[in-house]
Amino acid sequence: MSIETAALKALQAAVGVENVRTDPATLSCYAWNSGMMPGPKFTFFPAAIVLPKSTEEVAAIVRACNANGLKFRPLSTGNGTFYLSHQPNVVVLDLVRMDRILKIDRANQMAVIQPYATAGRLMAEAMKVGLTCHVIGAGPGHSPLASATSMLGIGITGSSTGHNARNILALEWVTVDGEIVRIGTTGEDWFSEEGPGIGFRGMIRGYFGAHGALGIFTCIGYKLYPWAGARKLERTGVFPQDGMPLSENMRFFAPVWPSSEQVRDAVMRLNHSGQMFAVLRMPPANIGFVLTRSNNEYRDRRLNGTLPEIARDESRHGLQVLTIGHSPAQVAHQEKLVRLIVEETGGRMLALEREHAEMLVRGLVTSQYVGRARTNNGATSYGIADSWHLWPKAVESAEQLVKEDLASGDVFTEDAESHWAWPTENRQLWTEHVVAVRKSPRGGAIALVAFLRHVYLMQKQRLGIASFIAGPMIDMFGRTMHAGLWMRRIKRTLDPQAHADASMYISPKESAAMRVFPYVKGLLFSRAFKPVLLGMMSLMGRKAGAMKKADKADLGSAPPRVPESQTGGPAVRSPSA
Amino acid sequence: MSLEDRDRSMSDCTRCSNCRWLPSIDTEEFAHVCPSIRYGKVFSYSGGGKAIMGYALLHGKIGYDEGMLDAIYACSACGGCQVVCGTFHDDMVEPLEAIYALRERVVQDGQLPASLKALTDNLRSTGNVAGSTDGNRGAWCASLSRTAPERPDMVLLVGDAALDREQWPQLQRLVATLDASGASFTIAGAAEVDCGGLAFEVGDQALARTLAEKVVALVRESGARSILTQDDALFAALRGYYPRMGVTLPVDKVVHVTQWLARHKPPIAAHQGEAVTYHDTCRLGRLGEPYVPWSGWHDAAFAAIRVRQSNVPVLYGNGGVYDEPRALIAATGAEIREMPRIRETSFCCGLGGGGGTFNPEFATMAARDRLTEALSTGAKTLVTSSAECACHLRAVAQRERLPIAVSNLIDYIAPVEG
Ligand SMILES: Cc1cc2nc3c(=O)[nH]c(=O)nc-3n(C[C@H](O)[C@H](O)[C@H](O)COP(=O)(O)OP(=O)(O)OC[C@H]3O[C@@H](n4cnc5c(N)ncnc54)[C@H](O)[C@@H]3O)c2cc1C
Ligand code: SF4
Ligand code: SF4
Repeated sequence: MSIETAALKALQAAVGVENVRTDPATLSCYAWNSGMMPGPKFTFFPAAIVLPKSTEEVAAIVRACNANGLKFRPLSTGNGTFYLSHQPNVVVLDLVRMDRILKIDRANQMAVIQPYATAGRLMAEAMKVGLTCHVIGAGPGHSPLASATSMLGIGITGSSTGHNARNILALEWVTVDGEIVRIGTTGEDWFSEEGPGIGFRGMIRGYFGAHGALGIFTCIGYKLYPWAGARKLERTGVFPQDGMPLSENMRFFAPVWPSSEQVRDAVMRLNHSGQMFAVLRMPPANIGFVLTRSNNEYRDRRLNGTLPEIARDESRHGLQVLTIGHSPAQVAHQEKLVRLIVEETGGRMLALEREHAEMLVRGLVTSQYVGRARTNNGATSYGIADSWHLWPKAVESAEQLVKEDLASGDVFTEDAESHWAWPTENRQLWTEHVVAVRKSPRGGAIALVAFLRHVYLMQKQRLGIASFIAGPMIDMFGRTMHAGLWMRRIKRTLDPQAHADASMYISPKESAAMRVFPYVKGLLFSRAFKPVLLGMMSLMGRKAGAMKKADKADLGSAPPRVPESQTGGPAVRSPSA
Repeated sequence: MSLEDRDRSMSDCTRCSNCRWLPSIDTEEFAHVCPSIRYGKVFSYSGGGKAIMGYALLHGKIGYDEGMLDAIYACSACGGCQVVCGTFHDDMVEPLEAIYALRERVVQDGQLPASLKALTDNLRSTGNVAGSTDGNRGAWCASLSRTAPERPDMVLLVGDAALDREQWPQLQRLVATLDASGASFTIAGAAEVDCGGLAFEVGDQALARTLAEKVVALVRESGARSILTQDDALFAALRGYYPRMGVTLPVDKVVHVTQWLARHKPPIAAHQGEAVTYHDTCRLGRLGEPYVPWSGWHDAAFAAIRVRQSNVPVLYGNGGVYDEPRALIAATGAEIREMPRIRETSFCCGLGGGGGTFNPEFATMAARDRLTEALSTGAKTLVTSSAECACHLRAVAQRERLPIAVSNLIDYIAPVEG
């Protein structure tokens, strides 16, 4: 998409010639579909990439876009390629030059940060003064500002660091008209006791975030939490399997139970205590990906039965629990409490080698190893958010859903299901069912269909709210919660001209297809229709050219799922190196 | 490996951006692992960006332009991106391999930037990158009165230091030290040729292979069972690039001088209590890890888990040389103050891979960043194993008036004469 000269000049006037890029090679890196979205590897090439340095420059870019009929979309780190646009003529604001941690205010437990100040950098600095920050599962490389203002925001340490929606204390916002708005305490001091004003957060982000569709956030006041661990996370282990030493006031537990109901009971009691730093249910295979140096080692150790107990399927009703006490008495209390709850709910503690415990603890504190869940071919992720009482149902519905897919030979999960789950704010259940699929049009189709059917079924069964609903999904599934309706009104009110790209939010106008959707969804997601849906999605994958020559070897019907003991594991191959 | 061969792995880049950063961050200021993205800012400068551009080029989505070439070559081919990507994604993407393949394609398409083309032209015409017609690689040792053993254990290759008069005294001292410690070695001297490392890094693999084969011949001729070198770039070429090109050396081992000296403990200088920091060069560190070539297939174990068909291990840079240089510095009595970015995730000074020649501004930025990090430790001297990196860092420190001395390790540990 080439950009008009007048528009280019206007952008260059806003940020300087050297900070506007329109060469195809640069643009290609902002049109890359990492596989998070269905469809081809390249979506629409943006009209330009601009790199503002200040809030004023962001505002000037917005005004320049509006004057020249261009849409705009910001990205902070681009960590999950969620910023991709589904339309042409979009200017991408890469906020990489706005990278500063402007302030860490120890007394008031907050930081003031720009979009490209990453969680890893913020955490390292906060820890030096006895504080820490919320880190979402995306890990140390994501932007807390993007997460808090614009996209989801749940994280493994949610027991103690909450949900990012609630970690915004103040914000600076460039509206779709290019106006600069400061919410929270304005002026020199960013501190705001009540959060942004009288509760504007709900409108600018809602649950899943507006993804830049309501304007661009350029700075936030961000809540920090007490950290009683070491001021610097020393490294243990052999790179890249970095661990961290457990300080005297930390306790790490790996309890397991015979059933999901017992896990639920235990988590609800742990939540109730308000004493947990982090509680995590990680599928054993994913623990295995972390504790082994490579997929080959994981495969071999799974086959020869030498994976540590925590990484074996039989430990699937298990948790990782980390407590950090601020005094010896609190440490003793926390230890007693966890042991008692585990015992009374019929669980037992797994023994762990020190180096494994140290790695898992680093993962709990920093989310460093969550990405290893994606060391495989394709993947999908779907889940729910509500109270922990739904946990057994979440497990059961995932088991039902993947049963047929497992038989196809295209999908890998634990024996029965593969949920990641953790509590937020000592109450909320967050689950994400991460399923590895074979990288082929068929594998991709299975992932997509599983995702859509899951969201449909869980709404039908009233299993809380779906964890990932964005873009067109809001129209498809948002109406159950009546949220879509109000989101559309917000978008229309704040952006009547639809200046901001809303590919991942809600469009100002409902499409005809979406008006029909409520009447056909029953059929579309029925079991009988599943093969048709699969066929459609496979075709889409192939047509989109999402798969390459190299995958052609995989295109035939998938081989049957042969017991591991007979095959040594491998079933399908793709030319690679 | 060609761009076509990397098709699938390039397409697997999740664009997570992790290859910009250290996986374990100690301090906000020194969190980057990639000098290229730090310099260029837009995503194409990162390891992942180069993989995406490689894929786009292969599939006809983009053609060559200045911006693309800058993103490809304002990069020191330091491999930081690869070890970090592996931390998160195993061998799924291997961005450094994508960089090698992309650069090879650039050369095949006749698009190598002029400043780098001048280097490969020089190599072809004169046998050295500088294009010196006085390319006698034996001059530095011509005056040495030593007799090589008839059946030497090792052959000493010194790389381009042989062509730099300023480095001759250092090389001569090194030979004396090695002799004093009982090493059995011969000096390649006038028979030495360029190892092809730089040619490989900029993408001229045909030239790199021709030069590598000459090195193989001269080593075979020497009868030695090991190669000894003080040159980090040469070390990386022999241990990493040759296996990638399928060139097999007729020796059991390639040994860096620091490894030899740390084991044989010759007399060493005293720097009691001096506060120094040590800069791991990429070429002695992660790129100095012996590369194990493999080809074939990725299988899908348990239906969807990507595994190598052969059990060749995924590399994370652990096999580089990290401890021996530190042991040598410690033996002088100096106090090593570690920087935040060390060992496998060390931050490159920006010189290598053609980066310094192609875009001096990039290389200066990287060196400045590294020197600032060194200063943050309170050290008065930065010591490093590579004479070239030391020279580059020293020049930037002087130009920018940064209050830190830069010393080459071999010089730093050499006992004061007289
Ligand atoms: C392996 C993996 C695990 C993940 N786990 C989690 C998880 O546990 N919890 C969770 O919440 N998320 C998770 N995510 C998704 C994650 O939320 C996003 O990657 C991250 O929040 C966004 O931060 P970012 O810096 O990458 O933002 P970007 O990718 O830059 O942007 C994310 C979205 O926000 C918009 N945006 C960015 N900056 C701004 C701004 N300044 N103003 C307005 N809009 C903006 C973008 O347009 C885009 O739509 C995961 C992703 C991956 C790949
Ligand atoms: S190369 Fe690896 S680390 Fe870099 S963006 Fe791609 S997947 Fe992420
Ligand atoms: S090789 Fe080094 S400079 Fe080049 S992209 Fe990778 S980390 Fe950056």
